[in-house]
Amino acid sequence: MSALVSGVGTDAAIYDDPQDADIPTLLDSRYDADKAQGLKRLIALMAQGQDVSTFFPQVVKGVASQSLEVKKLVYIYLVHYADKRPDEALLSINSFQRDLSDINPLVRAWALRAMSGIKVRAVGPLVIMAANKCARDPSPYVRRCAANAVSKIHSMGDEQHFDELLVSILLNDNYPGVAGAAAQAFISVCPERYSLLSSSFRKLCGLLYEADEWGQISLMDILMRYIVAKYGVVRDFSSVNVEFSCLQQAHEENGGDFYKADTRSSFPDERWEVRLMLSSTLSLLRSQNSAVVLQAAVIHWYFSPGNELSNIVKPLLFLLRSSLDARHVVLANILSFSKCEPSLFEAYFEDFFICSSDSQAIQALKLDILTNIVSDLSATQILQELEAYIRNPNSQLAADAVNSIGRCALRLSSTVAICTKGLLKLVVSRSSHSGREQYSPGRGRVVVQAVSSLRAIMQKHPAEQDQVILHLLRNLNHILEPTAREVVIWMIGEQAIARPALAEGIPVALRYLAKTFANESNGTKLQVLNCLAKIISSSQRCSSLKTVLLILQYILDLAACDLNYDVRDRAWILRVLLAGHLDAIKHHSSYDADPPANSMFLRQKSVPVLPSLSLQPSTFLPGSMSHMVQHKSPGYRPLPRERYTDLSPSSPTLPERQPELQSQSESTDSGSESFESEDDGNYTDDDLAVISDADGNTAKEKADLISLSDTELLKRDASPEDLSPSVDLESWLGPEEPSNSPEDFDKSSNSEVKKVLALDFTNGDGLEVHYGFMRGPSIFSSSMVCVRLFLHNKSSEPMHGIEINDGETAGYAAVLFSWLTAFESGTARIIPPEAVALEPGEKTELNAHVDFRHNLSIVKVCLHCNSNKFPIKISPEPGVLLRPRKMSISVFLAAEARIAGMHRSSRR
Amino acid sequence: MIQCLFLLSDAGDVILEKQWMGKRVERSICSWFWRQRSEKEDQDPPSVIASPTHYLLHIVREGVTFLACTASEMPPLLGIEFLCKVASVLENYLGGLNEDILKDNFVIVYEILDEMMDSGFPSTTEPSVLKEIIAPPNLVSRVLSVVTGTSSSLNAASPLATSSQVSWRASNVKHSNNEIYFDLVEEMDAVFNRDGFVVKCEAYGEIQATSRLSGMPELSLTFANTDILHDVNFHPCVRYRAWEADQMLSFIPPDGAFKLMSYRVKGLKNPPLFVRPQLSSGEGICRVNVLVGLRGDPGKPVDAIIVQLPWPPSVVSTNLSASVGTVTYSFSTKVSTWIIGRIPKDKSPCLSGTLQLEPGINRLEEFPTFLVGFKIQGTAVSGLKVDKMDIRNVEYRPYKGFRAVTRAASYEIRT
Repeated sequence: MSALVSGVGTDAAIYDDPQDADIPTLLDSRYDADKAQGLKRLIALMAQGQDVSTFFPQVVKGVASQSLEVKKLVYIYLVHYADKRPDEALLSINSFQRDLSDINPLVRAWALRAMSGIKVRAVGPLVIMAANKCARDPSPYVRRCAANAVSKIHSMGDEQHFDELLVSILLNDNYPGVAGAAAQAFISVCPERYSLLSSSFRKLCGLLYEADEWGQISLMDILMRYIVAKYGVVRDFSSVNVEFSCLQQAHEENGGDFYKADTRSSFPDERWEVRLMLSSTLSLLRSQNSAVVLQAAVIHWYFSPGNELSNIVKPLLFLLRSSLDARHVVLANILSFSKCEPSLFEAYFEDFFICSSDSQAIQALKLDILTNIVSDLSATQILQELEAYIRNPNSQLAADAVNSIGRCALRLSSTVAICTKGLLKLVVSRSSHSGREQYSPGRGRVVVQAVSSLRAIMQKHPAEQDQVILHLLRNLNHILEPTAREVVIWMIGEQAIARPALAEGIPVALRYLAKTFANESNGTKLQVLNCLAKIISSSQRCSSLKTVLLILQYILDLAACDLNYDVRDRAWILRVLLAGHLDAIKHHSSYDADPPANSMFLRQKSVPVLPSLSLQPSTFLPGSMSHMVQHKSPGYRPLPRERYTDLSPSSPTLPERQPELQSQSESTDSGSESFESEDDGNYTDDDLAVISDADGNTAKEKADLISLSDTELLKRDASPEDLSPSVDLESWLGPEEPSNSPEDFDKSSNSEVKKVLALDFTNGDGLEVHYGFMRGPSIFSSSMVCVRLFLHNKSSEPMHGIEINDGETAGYAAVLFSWLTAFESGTARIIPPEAVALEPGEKTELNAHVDFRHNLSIVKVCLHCNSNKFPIKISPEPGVLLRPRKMSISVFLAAEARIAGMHRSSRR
Repeated sequence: MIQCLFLLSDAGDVILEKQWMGKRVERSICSWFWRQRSEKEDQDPPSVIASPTHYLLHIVREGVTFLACTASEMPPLLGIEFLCKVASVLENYLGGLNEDILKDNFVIVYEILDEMMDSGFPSTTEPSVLKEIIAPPNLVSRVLSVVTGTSSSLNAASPLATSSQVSWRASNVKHSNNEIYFDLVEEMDAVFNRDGFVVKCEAYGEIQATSRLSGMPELSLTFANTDILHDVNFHPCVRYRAWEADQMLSFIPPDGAFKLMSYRVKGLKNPPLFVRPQLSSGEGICRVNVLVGLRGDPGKPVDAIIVQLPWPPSVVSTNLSASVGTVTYSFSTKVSTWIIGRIPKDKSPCLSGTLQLEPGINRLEEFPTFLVGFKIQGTAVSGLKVDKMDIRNVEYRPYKGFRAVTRAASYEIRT
């Protein structure tokens, strides 16, 4: 009965057999209930992986329905298939627009969501208008939807300025949920526009705790990057500490209790932003969401002074217990932290002990961390624990534990004796009781690992070798695993050189090896040959030389007939190299060492590094996907480079943008306006076009002089004159014939061109690109516009092969050729300039001719440099696109007379 | 950002897929994932793996695999936490989680998934807010839908909570009976080495609250001994400053069930059970003798005691008998399970017998780790005590309830 009841009214039947009714009829029905039925069937088919996009036109009609359920189902369908049938989606645009004014905020939000999913250029402006409207909606739910829509609009590639405008509106929203979504939009739309954040930094920090957990993650990300761009980091993975004394000093002045305060007055330090961010993220370390905790921990890792860094330890460790699904990721990040600052986690080694529910990946991470943090205090307990793992039935864990014991010994010299003893015991006990038939692979793995660990320890601490080697020699007949035998034989060869104490044992061992040689594995045979060669080269005058030489002769003869060609080759090589020694046997005379052969065999070997079991150390941002997968994932952004690393860090007036308190007059002061200058220019909400024109740059770039070349200095010196009003006026009123010659055109002064940043040097591997519109016709085509590109190599490496194309064709000639053909058909978008090369610090200018098709949409081009590819977007502003038009003088005069006022004022 | 989500059954079939971004991800990725998984037989692959085309994140809940794909950089933990949230919301909505329940309610699952994520970024995930947008299925609405022929799980009223001052609670909550319950659920982790000494013993606890209170109640909860807490984390509704200053939980609760706080108490001295294993092997046979007993007095009876004995691969068969309870042996997994239940007053439980080793192996060289399960009703083994609970800002006097229970989570005995 209960089964019957629970089945009543569910959609089980629809899922099991969606096509038992005629779906088109249902969809076309007048009744909402039928429509809903039909839609549910479609969604069932969708869930089962069938393509039902053919129903698109019928489904789209359903948007007009008044029923909330039908609407929702239609939206689910639309979002699923938005990219497949964009043109049919256009049919519903009117209904969407009507829904945008619905009284129900849910409907408004859904309409925007579905609209922004339609990837058709033509609706771009409509979607932007809709998003604009929703961004000012009274309901925060709708505003958040608008924030989410911004990134979708952005991916269509249109109207970047509107995107940024929207982001700035939404970032200023007082509702925490909206600010969180806006932060995400910021990341996807304009992650480098830090100037948008500077005004709302304090507010965003305040909203952080109240925002929802997902918003907190995005907000922390943008705040962190903002601070890095402004001040740099305190701690990095490459080098611990930098200019951090300054921060710490300020902390002491504050009496160390700045967390409790929240007013600006308690942050007299000019780095109040750093402290504000740290204090407002402190509470997030107690979040239930592991992603939030990790992101907050990363912030504290990069910025908090040394004594406060321990704040992150307990929350991170607690994640291992409270969010079991997150363990793998958290451990991988702890591994990176512990590599850099082992002392942080030293006291908490117990948390990294392995329990039987841990998967193999987690076990490996935990062992790696344990070997990183082992200290004199914890060594006994950690080693005991590792010893316990060796008894575990899981042979992989046992072998990893043995590896870890070796690494502990390499790290802490105080543990060498005990580790060596333990490993030797292990080799002996694991080897002795097994007959050749009863050989288990798991056990073999442990022995190999133990012998390898011993070898590494011996090479680092040669002092205690004698006993170890003798032990291994004595047990050589019990060590069956070929890899382990190889290692032991290699060790004999190496140690024989330096250890006269072994002299007794060596001939015995060699005799044994000669006896077993035929049955050895190929690798072992090679090692035996090498070992013999080493012994011979090192011990010419020892008493047993003769025996050794005889054994060598015997083994060489055997090896020369071996089945394996590697072994045969090795034998022949050795025969030639050691010919002198062999002759000496025949003639019963002594032979002086052959120096080349000696230097070949007896070279000092470097101490091997036992490989870590899990992740290799990397410099990827902790908490990122790239950090987990160990390669740069698409869309990965490293931390921004600090703008003023070149300045002495001890300088008391570190460049800093003064928030509202400071008067603008300071901005002429060299270096004090600083931060936003590099890529933002005078960026305000009203003027979203990113303009860094000549006058803005001069004062600021003086701060950056270290990297500037001489030629540049000259240019910079000249520019103030360009700015003076008289020059300005002249350039306005001076005779300027529109010239068809691009060369003349090139000569027009730079100061007249608005430069827009296209590629920041932090993203372009040191290459910075600005572009500006020359407001002249192109020589190539009347529909094209000349765009001037300003390239500046800010790196210390020369750059070559810098060229620009549409991303599809490579090479100037090929592009030109393809353009010629495309020109015929009228499809060419860009005529690229010739490829150039830049020395460090050098600047150059290029002209590209771009066809914008007479609308203000962005053209994406591709910049190639040093065989890297950088996408660049060129977005025209109103007034820069020109279309030549032929008219007679009289018509021209008539047209001119109709223009009111200073019609050339848009020049600047 | 997260492009899509696949729900896979325990056989690897796709139950349903939800695409959030324009770029659709093909289903074939699931079979790739399932192959990765079956290659490593007994073990789950790491929660983050890189396939040739996408990065895959997954969690497993009740046999259902939640698999999310992304092609670009994003915080992997964000994805995993989102999947956990999806799983808990679905479980909360549907009253359980398995293949059949998901199929029965696939429309509602789609509606929820559509709300929870917008253009690849998590959107509304708070269960109480979601419930205002999408009503959970219940028997009344189902029967109604059968009778009237209409069925709508969507609430026509506009979501109010999103405009409320606190994002997790609507401003107009009303209940006829005002009550709030707190459950202290503690899990004990302990490791004993082969000499019977405690390597590690700690308790992880959660305070799970169920609130059915009208209006906007201001609650404060204080503990008698917060100094024992080693780690804590809180539901977003808890005011962190109040905790920092007075070690007090001050909060406006969300409506319904939620996890108020979790904590950990380390270095416990009183594990309630001892297990003494003795294994002696020779001549192809291993003699086993395991004793189980109470260690000190936990105050309340220890229930549902169960000992799992996973034998190493070299064991061929077992012949074990117990003085209390029953022993079963599974040939496929080589695990003996000894179900004791409650320890009787007059007898002490003892398991004895022999193991037959593989021919050729004389002695056991790999030693198993025994896992112990138990449950203690009515006590929190960490000793955490609730001092008092105050409620302000409302007229009524609610019913308050406290309960505590302790379970063994990873209670391991090495041999």
